[in-house]
Amino acid sequence: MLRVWSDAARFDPARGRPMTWLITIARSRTIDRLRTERRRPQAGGIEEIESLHDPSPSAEDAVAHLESVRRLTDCLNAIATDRRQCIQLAYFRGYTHTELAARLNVPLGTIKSWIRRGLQQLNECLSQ
Amino acid sequence: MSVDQTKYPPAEWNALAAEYALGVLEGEDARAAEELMREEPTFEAAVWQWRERLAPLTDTLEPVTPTADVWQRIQAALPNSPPRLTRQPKIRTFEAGLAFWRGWAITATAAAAAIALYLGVMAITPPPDAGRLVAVLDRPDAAGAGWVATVDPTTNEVSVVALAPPNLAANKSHELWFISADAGRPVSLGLLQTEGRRIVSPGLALQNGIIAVSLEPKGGSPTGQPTGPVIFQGTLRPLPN
Repeated sequence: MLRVWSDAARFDPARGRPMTWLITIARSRTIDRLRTERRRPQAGGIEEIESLHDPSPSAEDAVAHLESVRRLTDCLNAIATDRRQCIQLAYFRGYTHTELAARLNVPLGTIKSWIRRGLQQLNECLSQ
Repeated sequence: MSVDQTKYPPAEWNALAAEYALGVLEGEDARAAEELMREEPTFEAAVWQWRERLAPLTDTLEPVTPTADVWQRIQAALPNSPPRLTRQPKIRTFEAGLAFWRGWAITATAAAAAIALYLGVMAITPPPDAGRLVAVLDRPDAAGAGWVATVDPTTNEVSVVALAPPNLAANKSHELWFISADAGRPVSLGLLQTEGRRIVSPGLALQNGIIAVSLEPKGGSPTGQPTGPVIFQGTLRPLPN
């Protein structure tokens, strides 16, 4: 993904790990593409990225990382299904508040409150 | 122009940052968040913290290896001169890091996908611990990984990390076994716990073989051989390098 290359100078290690930065760019590019392709059947963007990785990840790093994946998964699973579904659709499909309301046929206010409370719950669970 | 702080009070910035990181904002809210990103370091930090929190979701996706022409196309599209760097981050580029955003089911198998992703990364990064062996302990029906075991051949220590182990009845224990490809008779490596990491030193060299978990009476098998069903198992493989 060329934007990673051209934006490399803007990477600031103080703000986040390289992987987070990379994922943020990849996700935003993917969502742009999904939004463009939204109405086509079988929409699904393939995003090509270069892996920007901390040098030499050890097996222990990998395992610690798996722990963080598991922790987030556990915390997500603890959230009510409706709210979790909204968060997942937003993260992976790039749906906004209005798009979620239309897709799930739920009033906009309800969607907003589901997401806000879901994220709040996630925050509390991850901070434990 | 700055953001109307009566409408977007600092007390709500964290919630707004979360929604911005998730990408659900639109219209006026999105514009306010973008402006706060530029103007308010606390807000920007909160957004990055949320991106960091949500980033592991990406690893629940199925990893996909790009075809060889992807890297060729990337190389062809790169400018001839490297980007000007304001600082010198340690950047290494590899061809294989590729996220394929097609599914989003969050299941226990996601853990196995994340392992595959990491092994994929290790495959292109000479690992400092070459020679290590790893076994992902899956259910026989491939319904998901319960534990992952790594063996350090220099010390013969086995590190077992619980990923998504099943619930355990109070009168049962999970027991870990090594079944050598040569001898074939299971050797107990001790009892497992359902969370965290456990290091065992069986005092024998673990190389070609299978690591398995059986369901035993509390305290472990009374016979020294598995008495209950094997509920998880995985083949020891070298970490690719």
